[in-house]
Amino acid sequence: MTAGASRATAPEGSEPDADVILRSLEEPALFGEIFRRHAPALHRYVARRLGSRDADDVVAETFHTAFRKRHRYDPDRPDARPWLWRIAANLVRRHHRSETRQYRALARTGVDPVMEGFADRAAERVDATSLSTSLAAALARLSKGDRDVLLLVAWGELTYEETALVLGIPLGTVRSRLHRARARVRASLAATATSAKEETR
Amino acid sequence: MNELDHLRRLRADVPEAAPEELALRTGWRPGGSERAPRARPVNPLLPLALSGGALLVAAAVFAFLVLFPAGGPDTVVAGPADESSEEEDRGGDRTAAEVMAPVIEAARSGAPDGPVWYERVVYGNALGVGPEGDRYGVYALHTLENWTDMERESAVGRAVSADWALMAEDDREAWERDGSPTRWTGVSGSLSGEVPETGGVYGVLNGPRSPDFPLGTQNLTVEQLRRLPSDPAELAEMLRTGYRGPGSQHEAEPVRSVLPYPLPPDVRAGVYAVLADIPGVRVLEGVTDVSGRTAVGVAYDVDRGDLGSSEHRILLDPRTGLPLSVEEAVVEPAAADADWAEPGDVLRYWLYESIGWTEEWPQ
Repeated sequence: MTAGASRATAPEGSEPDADVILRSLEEPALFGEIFRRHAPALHRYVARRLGSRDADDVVAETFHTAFRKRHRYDPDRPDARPWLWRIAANLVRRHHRSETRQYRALARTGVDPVMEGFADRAAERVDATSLSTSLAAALARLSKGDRDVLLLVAWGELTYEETALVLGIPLGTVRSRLHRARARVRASLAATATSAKEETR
Repeated sequence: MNELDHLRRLRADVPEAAPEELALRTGWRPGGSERAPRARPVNPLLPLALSGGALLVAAAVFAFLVLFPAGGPDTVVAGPADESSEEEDRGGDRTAAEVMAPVIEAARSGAPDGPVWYERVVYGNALGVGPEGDRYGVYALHTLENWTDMERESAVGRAVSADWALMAEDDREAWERDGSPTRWTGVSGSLSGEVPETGGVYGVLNGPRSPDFPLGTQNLTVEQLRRLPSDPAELAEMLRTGYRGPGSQHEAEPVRSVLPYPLPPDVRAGVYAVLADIPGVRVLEGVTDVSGRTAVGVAYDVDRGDLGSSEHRILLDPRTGLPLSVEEAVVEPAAADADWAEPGDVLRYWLYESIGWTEEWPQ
């Protein structure tokens, strides 16, 4: 797990999400516990993709939507994470082009617009390493579907099964998209490495 | 270390905020009111510059310049918008009446220099195409011409062409991944199921017919159009209430419908005054239309629930007082469109490439 990240689930021994959601139908304030458990990890994932300000919007809308639709939550699913992330994934897709522009900007300049949103990390904004720029270039070229799968696994730390649930696609499609996306990222890194070798000759 | 490990390290320094901080930043609490989304700039797009449409339009404009030499209606060449215009001036503190005053005056002084009202309009309708998981937007484009002789009370028209264009330059990569197609079939939302639309007859004049002008639930005759009042209060009564058709979603919609009609100059000035006076309309100043022409006008929001919400923009030429375009930009996309349409995308537009009075009549 990446430093600073948490995988949000109900704390061991505590009430499952499904039960909290069910009880929140009578006591709406209880839904705050679902926010407390899941918002931080979800926000961090979205912020890595879109930046902090858009992540605020996406998380706010995700939990408003979830709260409004909680009466339809399937009580047989104790963990609310796939449900919440599915709502968020649809919202993130609305930003596909601006997300792509940010990867392109990082690939072109070495300056990451997403990191500019974190003032105390100003010194880290410029990351002109060939690794970051080629990763960004590869992400910019991925289709929406391939990028979703790759980043849900790499940044969201979702399992393949969870990724399938979040995106509403078969497990086999998750595997094939991930395979394709990884191959493209690998090719981009390899091309950069080759180019760097040639430059040092 | 494999590519996934490298990827995990990218932006790994984005911190995870505490729930209390996030609740403050997002304004979220159970059952609380929804957070107003941040205002997003509406991007002036360049659809005609992205395909063969640009060439077709340029050729058509050239032909039209030959057809209508000096003294004919104003024509434009569709081309890239000035990038500096991306930041719109929403009118600042100026009122709609102040911003609209010059265009109202231009409309009032636009005396007809011929009996024929001519319009050449490009209708662009964005549709989602491409494979599931990698859809992108393309415009189905229709170019139409209409002539209305107000003295002989006769009208003719023709469909000029059907074409397509990428909705935005950002869609180009998805289009290339799709194999750079130039025709799509089975497209939801397309009349023929295809983009470009098929089945039309192009270049052939239809008519002559008696002109009529739909307004709400009625069809106005030439005479009724001529006799519309120029007084804004009277016009407002007619347009905003008397002629408001079923399904009108905003007070400005019936006003919008009369914009391309051959209105007498003082009536057109009155219509613009009505527009400027509608509560809640926003002023647009120093903006450009989809083809890059400088415009002033008004905007208003139309919320269609699950079908999404959009900003409708009526853009006018401050120099001539005539319409330039009507555009519908996404505020929130419909759920079915959310994987290819984003806030700011212009999903539909009517671009008046040329409109005005002339003496010319098509052969």
